[in-house]
Amino acid sequence: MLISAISVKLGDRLVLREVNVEFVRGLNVILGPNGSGKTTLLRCIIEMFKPQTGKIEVEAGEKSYAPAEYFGAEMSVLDVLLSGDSRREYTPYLELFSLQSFLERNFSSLSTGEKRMVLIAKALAEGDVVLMDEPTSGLDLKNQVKLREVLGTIKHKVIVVSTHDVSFAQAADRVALLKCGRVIAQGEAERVLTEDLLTQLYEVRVRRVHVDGKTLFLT
Amino acid sequence: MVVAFIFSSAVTILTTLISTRFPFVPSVTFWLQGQIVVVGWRSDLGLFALTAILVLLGVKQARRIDLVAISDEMSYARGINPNTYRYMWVVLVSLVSGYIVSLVGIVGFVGIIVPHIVRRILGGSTTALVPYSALLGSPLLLLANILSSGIFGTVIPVTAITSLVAAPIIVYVMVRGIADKRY
Repeated sequence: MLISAISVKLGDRLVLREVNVEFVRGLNVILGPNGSGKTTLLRCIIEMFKPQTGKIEVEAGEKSYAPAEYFGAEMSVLDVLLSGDSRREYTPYLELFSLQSFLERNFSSLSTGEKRMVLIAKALAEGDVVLMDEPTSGLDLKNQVKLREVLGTIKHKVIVVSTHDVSFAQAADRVALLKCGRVIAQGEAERVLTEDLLTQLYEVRVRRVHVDGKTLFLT
Repeated sequence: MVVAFIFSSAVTILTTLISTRFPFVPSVTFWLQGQIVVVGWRSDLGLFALTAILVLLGVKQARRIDLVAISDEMSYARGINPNTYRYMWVVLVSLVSGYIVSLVGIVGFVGIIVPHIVRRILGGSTTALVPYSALLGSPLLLLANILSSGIFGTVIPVTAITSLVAAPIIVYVMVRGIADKRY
């Protein structure tokens, strides 16, 4: 997916400024502070907003979106999965997150994390281009790890995830750092996730340490 | 509800003006409060056709309506503009409802009571709500009509019965809504 020089103005605010970013098949992660424009960027891809300038070239195929905010509808989980006239094989993705037994349950009665996982499973099953807005928020540690593993193994879809979770970005094939509507760096995780860039991004001293063969980021 | 009050006041003003200016015109009030009486079958065909089309459309579009209810973003991803979609439905339902009211008069609250009951029994998915609300609506209205035709010893407008039944339900829903929000 190629995003060329898009600028988006919402009301009076210029939210995205001349954003150039490329996403590949596999896992792409957008990191950035609150209000940097991550959600707006995702919304442009699904054509919810029209950028004032520039264009977005998306791969052919179905798009799907796992939102940050949604209405906890009073219907069964199965009805939620089938909504939008969708008939897909949801079972393998449900099994990945241990949700198979949830089908008959009322969606609004699920916990925050469980609802989120249902929508994540739905997005993964339906889309060739899968967009996720802060999917790890509300997930417990086990499910965060599970999600990271699952997304890391899917190479045939273009998955774009916006998150605050730096360890999530480590599993990505491509990372973009977004600050104040501008891309300050993008590329391979190893090259982009440096102390300097992350400190600049979040305006907090970020340290990169190695423990037990793993790279961790500490503040 | 506020809109209903505004229009209701406007109608009251109009009818008062008409009856003072043209006293020989019979009271519009009784016509405004709907009654189900058999006066011939001609209008029934049109009514039935229009309602059937609307219900069938609702059943066909049920899954998409559900998606628009859950998330705007998910709708865009599937190629549905949620705002246009909602607007289309409002216009469609308003037109058909308007036509029905012009033939039958005002019978209130059926649209609130019936889906509420269906939701309690079958859950809130549009795939169940649309067809079953349509199926439940007729017998319920007939029941209200039977009651209104004799329960007070004389014929009263149907909407009086439906409003009476609906009032406690609405109060209950509102109270439960407030209680839930307390947490």
